[in-house]
Amino acid sequence: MKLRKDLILRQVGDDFVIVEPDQGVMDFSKVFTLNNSAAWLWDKLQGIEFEYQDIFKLLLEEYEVKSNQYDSIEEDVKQLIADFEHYNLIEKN
Amino acid sequence: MDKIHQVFFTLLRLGLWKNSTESFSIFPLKELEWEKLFALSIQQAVEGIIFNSFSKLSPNDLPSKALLLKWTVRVDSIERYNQTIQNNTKKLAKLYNQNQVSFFLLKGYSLGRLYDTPNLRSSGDIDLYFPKISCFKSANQLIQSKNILVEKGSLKSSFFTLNNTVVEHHVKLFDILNPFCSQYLANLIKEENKNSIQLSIDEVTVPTISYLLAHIQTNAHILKHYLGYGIGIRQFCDLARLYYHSKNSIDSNQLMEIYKKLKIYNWVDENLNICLLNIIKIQIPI
Repeated sequence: MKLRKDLILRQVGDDFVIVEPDQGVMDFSKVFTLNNSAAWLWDKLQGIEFEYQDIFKLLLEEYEVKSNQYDSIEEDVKQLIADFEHYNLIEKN
Repeated sequence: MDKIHQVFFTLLRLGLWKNSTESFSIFPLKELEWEKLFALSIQQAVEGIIFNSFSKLSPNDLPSKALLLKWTVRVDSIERYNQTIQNNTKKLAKLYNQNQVSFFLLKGYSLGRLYDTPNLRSSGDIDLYFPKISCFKSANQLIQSKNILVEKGSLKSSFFTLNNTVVEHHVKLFDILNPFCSQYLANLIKEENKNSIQLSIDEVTVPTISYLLAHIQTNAHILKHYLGYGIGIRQFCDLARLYYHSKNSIDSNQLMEIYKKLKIYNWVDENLNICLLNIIKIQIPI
């Protein structure tokens, strides 16, 4: 899968924000706010093909994770991908 | 000047100039004041430039999260529209280059590129100037051959819509119709051809007029707006960025002489100069 390349991650004040213009109509635009980790991941995944394992690996490389936390991280990654898909942030084939 | 306008111009300068130093003692603003400032920014078509200044404000001085998000949506839309303008400009340039139709890009993208963050400048339409009538006619025919309706506009121009963008074809470069100046301007355009600037959008060549002609064109255009529809602050920003970018490439004495010949020297010197110096803090090179 790949993130939609037309979506721009911006830092606005302390927040990280993505605007999804619904059919180009400004009033119906959706705004997503990302926490620091999600914004970091979004940046890392820009322009590349990735799978669930790639995100997992990136998180293990970046954060100090104990083996007893793996299950929790797996859940988080699954949820993140589900959210990306649900909110139409992944490129359609 | 009231507080809203003071903050407006402070933020405008911060958004316009990378190294602008401003006093922040007037901050913070109340929610209602920010709402007024947002409306004023949209009215003056500078909401993107002002947004650009937010990275220089401390978190306590920023608008509320709700307004910031609203502002972000607006800026995102400006950026997307600029991308459309750029793509359409590229398509047209490619078409005209392939068919040996000589043209120059005016205003819009050619001025927007002079900003540090070009995509934050609010854009309107695409303006193309054709130095020869034959090229103007060929360009219109090429567009019509794509089943696009080309309509007649003012001053012998034509216009059409391409992918939600209005495109204007012009045969007149300047909004100066004084018959005693027409030959002088025609010679000037010919003379300045050697200084025209070749822009590139994804390796497609897009010619634009020389800095000298851009100065005259922009100043005369603002005068037309002043006499007719009214001036927007965005136009002053364009002018300021043009001055900043071209200050070492143009001869200010030559420019002054041209303005005098065109009888718009007083307008440029007494009106634009004072506005730019006081509001945007830049010295006009005349």
